Amino acid sequence: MIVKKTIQKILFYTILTIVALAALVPLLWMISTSLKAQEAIHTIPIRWIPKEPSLKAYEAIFSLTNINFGRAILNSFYVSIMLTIIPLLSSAMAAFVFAKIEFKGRDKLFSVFLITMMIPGTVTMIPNFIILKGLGLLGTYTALILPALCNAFAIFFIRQNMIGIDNSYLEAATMDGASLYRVFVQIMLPLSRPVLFTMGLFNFMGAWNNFLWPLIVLTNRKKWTLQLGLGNMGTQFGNYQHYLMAGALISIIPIVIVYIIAQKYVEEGLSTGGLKG
Amino acid sequence: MKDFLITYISRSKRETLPLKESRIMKKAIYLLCIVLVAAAAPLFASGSDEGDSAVTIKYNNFSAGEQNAGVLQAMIAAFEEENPNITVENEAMGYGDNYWTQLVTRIAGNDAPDTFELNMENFLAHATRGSLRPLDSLFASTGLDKSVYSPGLLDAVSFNGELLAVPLMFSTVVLVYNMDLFDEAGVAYPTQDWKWADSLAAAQKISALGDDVWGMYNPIQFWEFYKVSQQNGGGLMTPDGTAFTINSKENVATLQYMLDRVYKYHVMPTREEQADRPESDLFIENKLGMWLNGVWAFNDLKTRADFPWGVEVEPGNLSKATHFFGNVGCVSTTTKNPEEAFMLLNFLASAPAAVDMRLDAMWELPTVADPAIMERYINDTPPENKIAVLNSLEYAVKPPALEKFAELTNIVNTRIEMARDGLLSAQDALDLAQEEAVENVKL
Repeated sequence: MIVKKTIQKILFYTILTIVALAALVPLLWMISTSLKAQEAIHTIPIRWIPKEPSLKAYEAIFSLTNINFGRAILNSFYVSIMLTIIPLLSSAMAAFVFAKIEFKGRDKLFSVFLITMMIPGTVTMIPNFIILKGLGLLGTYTALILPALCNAFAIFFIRQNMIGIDNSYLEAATMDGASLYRVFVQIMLPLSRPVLFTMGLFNFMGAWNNFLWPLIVLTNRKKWTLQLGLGNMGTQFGNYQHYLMAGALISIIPIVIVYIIAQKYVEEGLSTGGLKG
Repeated sequence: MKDFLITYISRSKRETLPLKESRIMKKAIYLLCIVLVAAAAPLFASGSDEGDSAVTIKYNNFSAGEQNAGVLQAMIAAFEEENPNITVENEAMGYGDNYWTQLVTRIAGNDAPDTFELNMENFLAHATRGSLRPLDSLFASTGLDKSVYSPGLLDAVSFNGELLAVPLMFSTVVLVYNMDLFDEAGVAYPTQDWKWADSLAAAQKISALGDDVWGMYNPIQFWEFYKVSQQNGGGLMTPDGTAFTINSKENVATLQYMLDRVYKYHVMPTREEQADRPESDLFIENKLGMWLNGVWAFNDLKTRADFPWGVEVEPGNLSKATHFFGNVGCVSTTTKNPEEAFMLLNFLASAPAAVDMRLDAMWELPTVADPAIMERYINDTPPENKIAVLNSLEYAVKPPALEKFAELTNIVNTRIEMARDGLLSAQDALDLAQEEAVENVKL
């Protein structure tokens, strides 16, 4: 019996290890390529450990003529932080209203919000573009933030969590004279922390990796984000793959750090946000 | 409205709470406004501002890439020096789908850049959509001379009798050959009269030199196919462009010939035999006798090939057909400054200072007709017989002019690649492509 269980365990972990290693192969190729010279990238068989490893690609991407990589990193941080905090705040406000405040047609209105989740982003791209042009906001970061203010998924996700918060907390606070604003800030937000962290992480990752919308609205290269920089490294007659890999590796570092920091909350938030309601 | 938001819900019982809803709403709105303004503030500050007489032109482009980014900047600086009232906003981007996506969206959203760069196939797609301003009247109003450009190139940028773009630069594709391998195999170098049979015979002799030595390399994909089919009297559409002829007997014979070079005569490696090695590496390593490539590859070969190499016009069959790649500059139909935009394009394409910069950087070929300028280019060897680069222009073929060009490319390419991988016969692949094109691509 014990032998059988041990064999099962060994088999289980062997398969898991193989799958995990397979998932790591592209990352290893990225690291290896970023340390190679242009000529050594396509050698067959793949030389996993470069013959003459060098950090030249990392140096080079910071001195490109076409793309200011350092500036793009800063821009990415700015945009991602703004796109994390502002939509999170607007979504939490909306979620609070949909979860705890009753008014006529609330559920119908909420259904309309949910329906917007079914519309593919590409369909609303040109209408959004035209609206932002009308507002004179093209080429500004506001053009990135404004369409993100109404995020139906975030509202739904946070609302599910807020519904589960006991009304007696709210009633007690109100009886003590707390305003609705205070109830929201001092009771609802702290009690929703795990789900806000999770949603914040989703927002951050989405904003950090966002490509298509910034590509369309940010025409000024000085405002390009990291992903736009990476996406515009291609040339008509070939790509600098070692530069691309070096840039891509740099671009995943913040996501990994943020994920490690927020991991505990994310797991908690996913379970509460997903189950209750 | 007064009752809006004031009923506080409890699931089991409802209690109305004495809240001052309007104050709360106001606070929430203020908060949101403050955050939004904070986010936008640094950006409004850096918005573009124009003086009364000064004009700012947005130039959206892709061809410079990192390699020639400095050259383009220098060209623009020279233009601005010559035209102090015009400022150019250089919207240089990388090449790829990104560029086309943003450009099409901006045109559709009525925010097109004043002037933008297109490659030939996208030029035709935009010409059919009507997003390009006709240029004949601008040549007249600015007094610029049309005849500085090669007539063939002006013809290539005309559509339905209207000149719609300034040809900025061009490249042709030629047969690049390794002279050492030809000598070793005892074969005479290619000539302009060569046909398929001549190149195949030479390729067979070169392939016999070793296991991993190959006579030729011509990719099996859409781009190659639409050109090679024309060498064999075929084509993807009827001459008047009203119907597809993808599975015509000439086209099937063409695709079969392309496949035979790999599977029957084995003068070209299979994908497994090539094992992801770029053709340039095979050529540099003395493993490839003939190879089709554009003038853009010369720079790299010049520095890496340690054997003599030459170029010739690509062999045809019933007739000759060669690839011509060009990038053109267009003026948007919606720009408020068409003359300034047009002047910029002409400067980049034909001003002596810009032409010199282009030749120095070997950034494709200038489009001017002056033979003295081309002489400088041709005398710079290797490769041997560089005149073939210009001779190839004589046989240049255009890709099909279609609004849904990308869809057609996708359909035909998918089927051709299936034939290449042995999943379909040449006949079946083209039958399917014809059927799908008729169904999905409106003419």
